[in-house]
Amino acid sequence: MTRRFDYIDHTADIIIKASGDTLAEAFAAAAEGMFAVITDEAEIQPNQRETIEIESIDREGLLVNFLSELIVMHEAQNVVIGQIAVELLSDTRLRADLGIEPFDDDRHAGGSQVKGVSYHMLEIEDAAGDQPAGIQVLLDI
Amino acid sequence: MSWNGKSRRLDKYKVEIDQSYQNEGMKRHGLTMSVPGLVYADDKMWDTIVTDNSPDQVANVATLPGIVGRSIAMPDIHHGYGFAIGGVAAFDADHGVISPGGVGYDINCGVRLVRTDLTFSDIQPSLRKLVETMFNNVPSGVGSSGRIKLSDKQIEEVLANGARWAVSNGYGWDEDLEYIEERGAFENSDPSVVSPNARKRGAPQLGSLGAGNHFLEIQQVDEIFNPEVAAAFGIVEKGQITIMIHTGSRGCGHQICTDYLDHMRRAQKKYDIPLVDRELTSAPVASPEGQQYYKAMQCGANFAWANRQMIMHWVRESFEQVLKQPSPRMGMHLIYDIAHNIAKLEEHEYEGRKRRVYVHRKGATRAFGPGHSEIPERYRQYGQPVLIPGDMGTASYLLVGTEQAMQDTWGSSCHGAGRRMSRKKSTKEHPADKVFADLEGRGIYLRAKSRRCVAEEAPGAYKNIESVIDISHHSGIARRVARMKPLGVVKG
Repeated sequence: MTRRFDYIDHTADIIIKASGDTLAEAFAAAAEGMFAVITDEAEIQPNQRETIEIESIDREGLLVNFLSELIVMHEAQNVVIGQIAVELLSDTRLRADLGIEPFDDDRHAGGSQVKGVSYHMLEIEDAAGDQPAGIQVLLDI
Repeated sequence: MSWNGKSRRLDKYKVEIDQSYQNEGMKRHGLTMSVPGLVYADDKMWDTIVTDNSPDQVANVATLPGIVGRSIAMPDIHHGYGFAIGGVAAFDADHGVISPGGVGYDINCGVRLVRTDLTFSDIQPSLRKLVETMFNNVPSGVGSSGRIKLSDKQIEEVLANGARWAVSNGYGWDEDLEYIEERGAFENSDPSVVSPNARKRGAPQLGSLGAGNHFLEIQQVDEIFNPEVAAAFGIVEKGQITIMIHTGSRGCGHQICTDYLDHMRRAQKKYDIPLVDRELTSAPVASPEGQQYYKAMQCGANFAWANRQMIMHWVRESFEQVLKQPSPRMGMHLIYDIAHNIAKLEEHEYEGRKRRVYVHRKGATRAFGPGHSEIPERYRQYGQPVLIPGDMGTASYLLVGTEQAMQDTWGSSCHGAGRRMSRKKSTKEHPADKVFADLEGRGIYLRAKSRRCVAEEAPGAYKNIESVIDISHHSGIARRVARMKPLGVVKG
C-alpha cells in the first residue's frame, strides 16, 4: 500500500495533492493530508475507532462530503482523526474506518483551521497503468 | 502564469475586463460574459493581480444568470475558490441567482472597531498585561471552544437573534446594537433551515476567535485625515487607543456554506445553470433552494454578530481588570461592526430606476454613502464607517462610504490588505521568531497560540495596505478618515 500527500502553493488557501495505489487509498491520503494541516500528524495517536458512511451525487461530491464530515467530527466532538481506511462502495458511496483521539491542547494545538472543502480546482483521477490514483483538493483556511 | 485576457484601462484606478473575453473554461462550456468586469487597480496593483489569475474569476462570475451592472473586484482582490476574494456582484432579485461561493465559507467574517478615551501614555505601562489578559479571556486557535457551551435552545436563539441575544444575556450594552450592520441580526431569520451539523459545530465555538487571519488588536490612532468625520465616529486625537476585532461565524457558518453547496449541487439539474467552475454553484434566488440558503446564511451571519459581541464584551472586561476602571468611564464605545463576507437583498438606483438586487460581497465591505437609512443616525450625514484591517505589523484604516460607491459598486469597498504570498512561502521566508522580533522592534507586542500561524500570517505575506487604501480613496469608493497602528496583537 502506497499513499502519499503533499501540498501545492496557493495565495490564500491550501491545495492537497494526494495519491494511492487505489482511489480509495487516495481518498484516505487526502483525509490524512487534511489532518496534517489541522495538527501535527505525528501527534495523532488514535485510541478508539469509528466507522462512517457517506453518500453524494457524484465522485467529487463524495470526496467533499467525506472530508467535510471529518471536519464536523473534529469540531463538534473535539477530536483529531488518523489511521484512516476507506472502502469505495460505488462512485457515490463510501465507508470509512477512522482512528480517533480526543483533542489534546498540549499536543494538537498550533495547526491551521480548515473552514471548508472546496470544489474549486478539484481533480480526481483513477489509477491507470503505472500511474497511481490521484486527488487534488483545495481547503479554505 | 500571468493573466493576459482582453482588458483596457478606464482611468488611473480602474481596469475593465472586456465582455467579449472568453477563457478556456468558458469556451469549453459554451459560456460568455453577460456584463463586463471591473477591477479597481492602478498599474502597479494590476501587475500583482494578474499573477494569480484572479481576473479570470471576475470574468467567470459575469457568466452567471441575472448579474446586473458589472462583475466588480476591489483592489485587494486575490485568487479564491469560485469567486475571487475581493469580489462584488449583484444579481436581479427576480431573475438572478444566489451563490454560497459568492459569500464564502466564513459567512459574515467581519470587523468591529471600539474607541476609547484612553491614550497611548495611559496604557503603555500595562500593554503586555492587557494583551495577556485578552489572550486569556478570549479563546483562540484551532480546537478553541468558547467559554460557554450552548444548549440546543440557546443556539436556536443565537441563530435567530444574533448580537441581540448576546446583549440581552449580559454581553455588552444596549447601545452597541445601534452600531452593528443590520443592528446585529437579520430580522425574521429562520433557524429551521440550519442543519444539525452546523449547530453542532457552532455550539462549542460561540465566543471564540479561531485561527488564521483573525485577530484582536490594541491600536493607537496615528493619523487623522478627516477630523470632522473622525469626530463624528468618536476619533478625536492622535495617540487615542482603539481596539479592533476580526473574526466570523466559526464552524457554524462554515458548515452552512458546506451544506448549501451540497444542496444546490443536487438541485443543479433541475435549474440547469451552466457553470464554468463547480464552486460557482448557484440556485435561482427566487427558488426554494435559493431562499433556503439566503435564510440559512442570515442565521450564520447572526451567529457571527453574536460572536463578535461576546468577544468585545470580554475585551471590555479585560481592560477593566487591568486598568481598574469601569469600561463606560474609559469611553469604550463601539464605533461600528461590518461584515465582509455576505449576500444581501438591497435596493439600489441603477440606470435611473430602483432595482432590487442580491449583492454578494466576498472579501468586500459595504460602504453606503451619506443619507442612507441603514446608517446609524449619528453618522448618517457623513456616510457609513468602513473598517479595513491591515496586517499585524502595519496599520488598519477607518474610512467612510460615499455616494460614488453607491453609483459604481453597489455601495461597496475593499476589505483588507489581501494576501500576496502563500502560507507555505510565508513560513519559509518569515519564521515565527523573526516575526516576533520584527514586531517587537516596531513596538508591537504579539501573543499567539500557534507559531505556525504567526509565520503564515507574517506582515510580509500581505499586500501593502497603503496602496489598497489609496486606490479606494482616489477612485472615490470610500474616503480616508483615520489610520490606526497596532500596539498589541492576539492571534490564534
